[in-house]
Amino acid sequence: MKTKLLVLILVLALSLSMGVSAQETINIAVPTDPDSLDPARAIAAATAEIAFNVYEGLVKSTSGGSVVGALATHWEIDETLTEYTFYLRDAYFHNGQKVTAEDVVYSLERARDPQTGVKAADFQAIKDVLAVQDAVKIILNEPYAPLVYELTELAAAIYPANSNKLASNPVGSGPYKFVEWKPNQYLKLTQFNQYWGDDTLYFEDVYFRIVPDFNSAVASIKTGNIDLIPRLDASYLHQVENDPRLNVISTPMNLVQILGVNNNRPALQDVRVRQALALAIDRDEIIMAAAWDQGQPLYTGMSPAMDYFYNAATETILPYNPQRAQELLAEAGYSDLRLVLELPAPYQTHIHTGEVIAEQLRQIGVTVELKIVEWGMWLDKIYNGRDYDLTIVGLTGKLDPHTILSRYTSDSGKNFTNFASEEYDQLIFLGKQVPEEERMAIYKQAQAIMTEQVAGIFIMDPDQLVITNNQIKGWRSYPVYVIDVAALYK
Amino acid sequence: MSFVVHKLLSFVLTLFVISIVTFMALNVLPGDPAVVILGTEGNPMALAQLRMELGLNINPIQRYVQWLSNLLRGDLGYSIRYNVPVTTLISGALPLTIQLAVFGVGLALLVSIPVGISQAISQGSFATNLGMVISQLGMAMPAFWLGIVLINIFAVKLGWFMPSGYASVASLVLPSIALAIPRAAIFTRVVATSIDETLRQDYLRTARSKGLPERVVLYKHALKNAAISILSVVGIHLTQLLAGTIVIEQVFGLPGFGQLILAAVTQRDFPLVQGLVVIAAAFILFVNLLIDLLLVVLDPRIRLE
Repeated sequence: MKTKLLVLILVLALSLSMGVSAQETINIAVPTDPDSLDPARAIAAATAEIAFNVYEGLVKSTSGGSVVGALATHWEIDETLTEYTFYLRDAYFHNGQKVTAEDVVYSLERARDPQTGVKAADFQAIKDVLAVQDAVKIILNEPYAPLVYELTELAAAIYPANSNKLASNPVGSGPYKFVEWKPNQYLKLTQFNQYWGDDTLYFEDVYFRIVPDFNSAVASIKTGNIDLIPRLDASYLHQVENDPRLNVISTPMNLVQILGVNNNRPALQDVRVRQALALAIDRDEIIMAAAWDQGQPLYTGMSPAMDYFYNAATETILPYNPQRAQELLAEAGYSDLRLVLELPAPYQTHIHTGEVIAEQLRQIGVTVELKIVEWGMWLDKIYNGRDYDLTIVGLTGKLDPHTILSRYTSDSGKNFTNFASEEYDQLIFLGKQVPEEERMAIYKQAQAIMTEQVAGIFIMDPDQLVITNNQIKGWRSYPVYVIDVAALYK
Repeated sequence: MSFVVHKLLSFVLTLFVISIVTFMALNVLPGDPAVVILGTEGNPMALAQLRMELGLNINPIQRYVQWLSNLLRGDLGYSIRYNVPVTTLISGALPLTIQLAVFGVGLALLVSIPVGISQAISQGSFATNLGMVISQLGMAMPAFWLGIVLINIFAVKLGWFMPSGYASVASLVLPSIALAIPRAAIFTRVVATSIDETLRQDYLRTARSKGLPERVVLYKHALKNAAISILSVVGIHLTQLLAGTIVIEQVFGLPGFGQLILAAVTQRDFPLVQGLVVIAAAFILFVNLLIDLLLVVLDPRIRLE
């Protein structure tokens, strides 16, 4: 009798305890697999937004776009602006080891060695990384203001010294640790109990499910198989916006959609012709037609999402004015201009934008031939080969203005519009040399030049559409690719 | 015996030619894995570095020979995109695609054989004409559209199935139906016309005049004869599906062969594309061989030569 009672109590206790620790799971739909879970090997933004939960650097981005300490509590910059000291916090890796200065040195050395780090070129400013007790000193060749922003990137994440096989067994110090990855199916994470942060994590398990098709993602969130879609294409908005079970959150993406104008093409070398093309663009019409009215117009190479550095005055430099455009074309002697506009497939927003632009340019007498080019071919011929007249692409946002704007300097390997302005080059050079508080004015001036001289014609920052089932709360938007699972709760 | 040797030889030779053609096509295609990996963050320095790491600076002939010698040892190399062995990826995706292909074609046959027979023997009736209209509609409907409709009805509205992803065999029900409907329509027409044709043959008139019951005439003689043309058509569809049901896998979020091919080609994942093409080709050749053998069994006039 006694044993029976005991068993009964045990069973009761067991079932109770199981009830209390009811594991909450969240399913997030992402369109593609990560490229590599090794921070030194990863490039895709799709990887960074997942890895944000697993890995941390010395510093990290906030949702407002500023930088705060992650594995470092705080940092100091000496008066020469070339020596940074980061003070480490008490934190642990997912394998239970304490995070040490040696781990930081190891990870950063691996990131900046071209043999091991695919993004080594981003860390060229660094001369040396030294462990000093519980701190790490980063010595630069010359002042480089973007450093702390670049240290927020996945490439600068910290992992245990001498770890190998990070690609299949990632070990970080973030709020969630890696469980398993089934390519083309899902990536699973689970709570890390020794995380230093004091946020209590609501979700025990996290599944990033690979759903390449938006139709399936929408169907799955309606049936509850998916709880969150971090980036829905605007053309699917009508399927979700009136569903009472779902929430739509719309935020700027910090992406720059650019009509690339090849500054080396004979006709386009004339700044008046480039200005004429810029004046012919009606951005509101494009946003309506190509992005279902979900986007912010852009007049310069930076999104208003970067509110501290963004130069709002650029909006009045070359606003929509087709008459002025025709006058400029006549002045330049190009009354019968013919250009080819090459659009990257399968990016529907860019293709639709191109169709509207072709029509808008026809209004000022420019004949535009549209060509659709497969992405790999586009990268080869247009982006890297710079063999085109006009093209459209989206450039993903970065935290630091230098990283965004240095692309258009005349000697940059990423300057696919072949923009060349000495004044601009000098400003960008200056911007990384001066203390933080002097940078804003410099970048605002650089933006004015790139708009006035038409480094490219900037169209819009399409909104990021986040769809959640209406029980999920706490979504935080970032100006970079981040899905901050730790912030989510029910 | 010489038949088997001959078939085996042509099997290997075809595979070899296919692998060379794929390799050449991939090398001629603009854009390489390094370009796609770096995307709009690429610059000449980073490109050169990455190309060296991926071994793309080695000359293509040398690369092909290396790949071939590894293949002979059963090693298909590492996927550039996923950083795991190609064989792991393929063996993960293949079972799903085989099941999907077999279910799709099987389901189509299950419907089309009885319907086709009844159409052949009761021509001109209202039911037959209605059947013709339905099968015409079935042929006209693209499988991906059917897929979306099925998802909306049976997964979203009724909640009977998961709308996307693979959890169990149940996840294959809707995609199999989506694949089966257009094929059932085609097979029904094939069954109906070939039975109808056979029924007009002299030997069947003889069979009937001998006093054989209509049932025996139909199932023993006519169906056996019609089976030859049905089998050929089924073979074509089965091999088509084995090579990847790209669109259906995309619509239903199934991690099969087709998804893998799509990802591999867009990412210019050379080793993965090579591996997928060779395995898919081997499968197609194998199914064709099976069909050839079955045809021999069914029709003694076809010789093993």
